[in-house]
Amino acid sequence: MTEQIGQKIIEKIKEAHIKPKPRWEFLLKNYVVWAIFAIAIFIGSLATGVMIFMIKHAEWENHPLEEGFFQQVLINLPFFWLIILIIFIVIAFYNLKHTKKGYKYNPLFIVLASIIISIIIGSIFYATGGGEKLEDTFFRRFPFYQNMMRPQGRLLINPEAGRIAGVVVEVNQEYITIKDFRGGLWKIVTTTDQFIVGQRVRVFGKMMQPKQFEADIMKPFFQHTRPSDNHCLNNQACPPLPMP
Amino acid sequence: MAENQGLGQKTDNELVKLTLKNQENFLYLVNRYEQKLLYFILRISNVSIEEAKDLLQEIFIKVYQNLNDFDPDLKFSSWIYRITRNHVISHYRKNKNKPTLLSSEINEETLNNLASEFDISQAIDQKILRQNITGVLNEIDDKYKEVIILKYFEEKNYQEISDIIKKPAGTVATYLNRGKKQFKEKFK
Repeated sequence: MTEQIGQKIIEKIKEAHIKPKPRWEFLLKNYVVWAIFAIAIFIGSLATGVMIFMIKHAEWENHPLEEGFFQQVLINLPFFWLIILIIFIVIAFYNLKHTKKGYKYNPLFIVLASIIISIIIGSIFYATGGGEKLEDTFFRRFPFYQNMMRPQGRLLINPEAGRIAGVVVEVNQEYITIKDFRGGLWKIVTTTDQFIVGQRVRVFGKMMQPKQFEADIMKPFFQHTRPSDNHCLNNQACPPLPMP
Repeated sequence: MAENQGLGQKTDNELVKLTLKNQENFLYLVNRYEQKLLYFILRISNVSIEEAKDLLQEIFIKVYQNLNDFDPDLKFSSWIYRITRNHVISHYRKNKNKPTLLSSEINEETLNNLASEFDISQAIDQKILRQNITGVLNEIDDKYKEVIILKYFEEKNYQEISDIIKKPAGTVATYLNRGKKQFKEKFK
């Protein structure tokens, strides 16, 4: 029986001209899997860098919100980037599992290692200012991202309580016009030249008329790293926020 | 003839290299694994002996086509068992047959091993014991049964099982413990 099967197989190989697949095919497949893993980790790291920026500069300590912690989390949690991170961790996990020796690793270890690597690279990305730039680029260039950010921005708007949040749509010598995240236009009387069209801002002050706001503080939506960059009206550095 | 005998004594890895140079040398690898893999196929599937032989041919062709993918860090036997296992699984997925172990697959040595490992009294008739063990093995979850077969029938160690089923060694140990537990519960 042994000789028969062995001989049959050899004959079949010869008759059908079967050849071993070339080594480069397997190497290429393996490199592609590793490359996708590396790209997934890299994109996850960029998302982590943006998340670090958004969370760290979300102004947790100065929020004059009468709402509780849950609403603060809803306003400030970077959902979009969190979803991006999760998607790319899953892609990285799937690809590492499909490398030649990927099965040897515990799935939990792979996920934790991917998250730790993302945090390390993401922290470097954040420290170099990349997190801020990437987030801002997404907001300016991609309407879908703007639409995603709006619901969070809307939670911040409460003119009666003295705060609005939106995007600068016009900068005039005498006033700045802001379109809040609900679509309402507000005129802020000021002579400051520190804000530019397209910039997201938070404004704290008093509502004077339905479309006019007297601002005590106007600052970028996300705090800058250096306090001196957080321009308030009349080019002064921002004072501590008044408690409601 | 003397040359052929020399080839028969070569290691698996050496035979892989020689096969890549000359396909005739594949015969030595086939001869070395044919019997073992045939029994393995019969143990993890419910196919007839003829069907198992057909599967075996397909498996050896697949092995030959993928020889360049063999990683020498791995034992060749683990690699060829892995290909066999995957091929059998895809075969019974295609045919939607649940693999069933046959009592005739348990020889006396394996029976004694299983009995002592699973704390089973061997005082009863061997034939009945064999049937009982087979019946219980067919009732436990496939993933646990597969690990038990590899450990006690194919006599593979944890690392080899890990390489064959492509799961971490810790998972193999867990599967084996759970398999034993299920076996003991169902055997009562």
